[in-house]
Amino acid sequence: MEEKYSNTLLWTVFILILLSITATYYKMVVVRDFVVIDDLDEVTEVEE
Amino acid sequence: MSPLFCPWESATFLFVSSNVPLLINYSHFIAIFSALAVSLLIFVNNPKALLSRLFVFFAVLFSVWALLDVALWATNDPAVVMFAWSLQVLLEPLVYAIAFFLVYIYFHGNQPPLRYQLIVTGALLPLILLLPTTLNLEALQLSSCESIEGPIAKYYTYFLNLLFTCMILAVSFRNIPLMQERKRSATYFSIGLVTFLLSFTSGNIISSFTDEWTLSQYGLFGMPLFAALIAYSVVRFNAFRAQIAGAQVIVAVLWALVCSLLFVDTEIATPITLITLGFTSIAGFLLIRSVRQEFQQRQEIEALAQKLQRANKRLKQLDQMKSEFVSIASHQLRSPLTSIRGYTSMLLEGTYGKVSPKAQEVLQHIADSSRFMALSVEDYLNVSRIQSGNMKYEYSDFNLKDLTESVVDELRPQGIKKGILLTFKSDLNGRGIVNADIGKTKQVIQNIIDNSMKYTPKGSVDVRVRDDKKTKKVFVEVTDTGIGMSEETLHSVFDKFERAHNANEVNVTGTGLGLFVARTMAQAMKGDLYATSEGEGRGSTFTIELPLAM
Repeated sequence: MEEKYSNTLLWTVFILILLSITATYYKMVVVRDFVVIDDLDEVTEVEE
Repeated sequence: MSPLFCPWESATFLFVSSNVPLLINYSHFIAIFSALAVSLLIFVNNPKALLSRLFVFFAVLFSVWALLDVALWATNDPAVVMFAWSLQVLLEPLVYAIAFFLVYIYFHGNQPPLRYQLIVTGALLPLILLLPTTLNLEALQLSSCESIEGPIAKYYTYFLNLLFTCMILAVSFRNIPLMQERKRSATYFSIGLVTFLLSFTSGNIISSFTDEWTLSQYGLFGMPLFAALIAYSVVRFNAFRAQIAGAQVIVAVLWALVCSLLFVDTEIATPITLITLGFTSIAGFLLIRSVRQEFQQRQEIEALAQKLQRANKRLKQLDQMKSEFVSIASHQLRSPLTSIRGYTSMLLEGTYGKVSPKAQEVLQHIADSSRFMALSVEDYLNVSRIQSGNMKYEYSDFNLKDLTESVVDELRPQGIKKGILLTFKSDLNGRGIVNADIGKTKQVIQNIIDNSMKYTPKGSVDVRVRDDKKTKKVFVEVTDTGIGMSEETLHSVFDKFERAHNANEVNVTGTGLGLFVARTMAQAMKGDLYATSEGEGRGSTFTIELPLAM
């Protein structure tokens, strides 16, 4: 019985971790939703 | 609007950039190589063990962390920095949590109980859920291309690391009943792991508060050290059952360290060489010490093996001599005994003239004693034959019922003399043909009936022959009203030199070999001999079992 609960718990945490990583990827890389503190004298702009 | 980038060139293949110091490549790739090499060798040696699989997971997570670190040095893209940094924040406590599971399994052999798993997962939950939020990473500073850490990254992860370290230490120092060698191996394992985790994190903690991130790279040198300790633990204590693998890992790590020197810039060659030298010295020392110990042990084992071989040879000789002695002595005893018995019998029968009643009484004593002596000698000879494997059986078909009846008839006068009623009954009419050695079977039946009469001071001994068509066996049951046997005696009565502890009550002489010989003979003829009794003073039943002839 305890093993069953233990497996459920570990799988739940594993799925939560995957969801959290996906959300972070979406936020940081896909939509680039974060604050950039531009403390450069000259801003380097690179054309894509 | 185009996204902002950090003020240096972009990385090729995410990891390659002139912005990555050589020391970073050196420390990170050596660490990744060590972690994966150790875990793979352990996994290949025992792929099914939970510990091996978890160790691979541990090494992979650590390697991902180290690769992300290289990517952080190489990239100039703030998005990559923020994502990689977030992942690192998550991976670090995860590596700790898995380290706790590893140590627990190493010490206990199974997974931690549910309550421990709840503590670990419960503690990780806020970090997992808040990972994409500004509570984890607040912003990115463009000039240094570094993330500004929020409370989760700055404080909570270190709290988690501390919590898991405490749990690891608690498991390691609790008094667990382990074998001395295994305990030492487990201690080495947990010391290695904690050393690695501390060196892994200490650099990060210092960097996190001082914003001097070049320091964090030194922490990774803990990994090769940890790999070496694991390998040493494997070599020294045969942990993970991969002794040779351990030595291979030490050599592989040394090889990688020395090779990497070829790619090192002359400016940082001195510290790198010093680090390599330090590691080489430690690993070399450990390796040489374990090889020396192994060699010493082998020498001791070889000396012991030779001693054992000599002792074994001597024991075999002694055993052979003992068997020969018993055999010769018994034969020598048998011949004079036959003369004594023969002449006594002739004297008693009056062949040499009338004997006075007084002398007749004495002669009867001589006849009884010599008969007992002859039986004893026969028992010793039989035991000697059984032990040397020289007991020969000549198989033929015969009727067990008829044989038993004739034995009962032979022994009946003896019973009458003792005042015991010896009866025979059987419902087998012409059935009961068995394939066995007739002489030996007769000896077994005689032995059992004689034994029952000896231990029955008054009453009767009933012999019954029956068969069981289902099991295709014939049974000779000898039931007496004698002294009976306790549960304990029933277990040992067929052992050599064993007699019932209440045997002296009936003043019986015996060698304690008769039942042993009888059972051995019955079993050799694919049958059996066993006894039952309702307890002391309540009689016994001995059953001889033989298979029906096909």
